[in-house]
Amino acid sequence: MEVVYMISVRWRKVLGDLWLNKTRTLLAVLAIAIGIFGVGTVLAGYSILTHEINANFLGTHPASAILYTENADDKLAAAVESLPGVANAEPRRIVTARIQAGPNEYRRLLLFVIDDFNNLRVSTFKLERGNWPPADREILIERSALPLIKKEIGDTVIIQTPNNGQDHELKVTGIVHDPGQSPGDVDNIAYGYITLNTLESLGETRALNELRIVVDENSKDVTRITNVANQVRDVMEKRGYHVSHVEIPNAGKHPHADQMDSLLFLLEVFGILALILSSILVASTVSALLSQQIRQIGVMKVIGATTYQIAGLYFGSVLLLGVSGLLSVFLLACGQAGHSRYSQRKY
Amino acid sequence: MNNENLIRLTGVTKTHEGAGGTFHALREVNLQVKPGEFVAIIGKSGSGKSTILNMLSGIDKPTSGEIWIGDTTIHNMDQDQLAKWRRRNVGVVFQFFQLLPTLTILENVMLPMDFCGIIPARERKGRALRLLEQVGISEQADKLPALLSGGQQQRAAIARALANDPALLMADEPTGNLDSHTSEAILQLFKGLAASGKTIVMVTHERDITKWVSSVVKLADGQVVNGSGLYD
Ligand SMILES: Nc1ncnc2c1ncn2[C@@H]1O[C@H](COP(=O)(O)OP(=O)(O)OP(=O)(O)O)[C@@H](O)[C@H]1O
Ligand SMILES: [Mg+2]
Repeated sequence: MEVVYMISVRWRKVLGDLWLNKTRTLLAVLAIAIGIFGVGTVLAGYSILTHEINANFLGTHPASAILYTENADDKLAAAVESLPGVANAEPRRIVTARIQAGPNEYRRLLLFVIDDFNNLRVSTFKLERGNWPPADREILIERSALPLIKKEIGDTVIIQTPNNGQDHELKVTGIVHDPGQSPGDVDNIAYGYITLNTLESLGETRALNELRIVVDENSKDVTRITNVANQVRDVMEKRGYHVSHVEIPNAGKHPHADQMDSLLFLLEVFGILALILSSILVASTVSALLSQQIRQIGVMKVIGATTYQIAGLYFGSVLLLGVSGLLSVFLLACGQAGHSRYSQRKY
Repeated sequence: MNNENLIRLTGVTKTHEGAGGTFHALREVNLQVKPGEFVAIIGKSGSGKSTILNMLSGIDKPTSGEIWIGDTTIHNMDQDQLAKWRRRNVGVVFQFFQLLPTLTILENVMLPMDFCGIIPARERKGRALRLLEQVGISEQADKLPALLSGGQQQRAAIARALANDPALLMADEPTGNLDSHTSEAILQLFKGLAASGKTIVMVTHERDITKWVSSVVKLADGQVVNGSGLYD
């Protein structure tokens, strides 16, 4: 009995009223919980999708511009890197090939041909497991393509290149993570990384046809990138390289930025809807409570309560509902945390 | 200043502005009540009984005229001052008891002490129990109001009105919702309180009220009607 009286009488009235309308109270708490959860999900989604993925992506030194030529090499890259406005330049080649995923089943394969695996400067990627760099007739595979081709380190993959269309066997010796590529299992495409020697053994000409450059600052300023790229083109043409065309990838944007934007938009809409819905529910709960107690409020004033004291009581009940809602979301989030730590590994 | 009268109303008028023009609920009412008096206000429905009681409790304010309670004028106080004055000086009893349904009888009696903070927190429970004993329902202390009879609820409401030990009790038809037997017990209780020094003003429709109260004020159309013929 004495313990109960630690709470003053007026707050016992508040608790009593909330308890009297258990269903309504529970509904309000639930509504607040859903609202907070909705907004929380949106915020978390924003922070994960925008911040972490972008940070991941920008960490790869994505190419500001790609200049297509016949034979880009290290000498050219070194010369271009010394130009003002250019931070890095690296020769590359991307070959669209096919990879066998099962009997008579082929998938699209983007083969990235790298001149020097130990000196990646543009569009970098990291080894997750296995060996680095790949030796001749060996291939590294991007991790998101693994479920697609159902192969592992040590397995042999069969590849067809466009030039001669014959089957070539390469050994998988490492798995890499390349944040610059869209998820292979989503886009139904595999990514492989090979040396120039390996390219030659696949029946392709031994040449790199891209010079990828990264500008030294304002990597999102398209006008600046265009200016620098045009300068590089001029220098290349003076040196006798023919530049067939210049590509400026969506400046500083993740390859799936548009899909991400629409996903974020959906999240936003759901979050706002949940918030509006819960606000309406809470508002109606509180106004129901108030209109039910107009007479009680009058009585309390007559027996000595000030307007502030009464306002305090009803603010208190709203606060109590809010804290209960927050607490249930917190408990929910604690349960979720374990699950999402698991599912994060996928991406 | 006249210390003999605890309550003094001089020229109190209350008007309401309505669609049909100005309505006079009270006209130039003069009234004096001495300490320890038990005053009954009677009159037909709409004659202004509740209006006058609400003025005395500081729930309502006159349009013109003066209201003195002891050395204090309350007709010129604002809402906040009135609330603070009422806490110390007036206990109110309603016709329909108006106990808060989610609090026990004991808690209902403690509630005014909680709001006003005049009685130290440590003493509140003991005081509330003594008040319940005084009105004769201490066994009901831990029950919710809905479980009590009308008479018991009104006793609890009287105990609640006495919570902060006010000098004045205002009761608007406190027996209006009770059978005649229970009404007599409640009137007896009020009479005892008056004898112990409380000043009580009660609006009532009870017949033979004179055997309980020390004086009767009759209102008709917002005016005090003096003289004989109280019950016509
Ligand atoms: N806020 C208001 N606006 C307009 N008229 C009002 C207002 N309050 C009271 N009145 C009028 O003032 C008159 C006096 O009202 P009051 O409540 O004092 O009567 P009463 O004597 O207590 O009657 P009853 O015995 O029915 O309780 C009534 O005619 C009532 O309609
Ligand atoms: Mg009345």
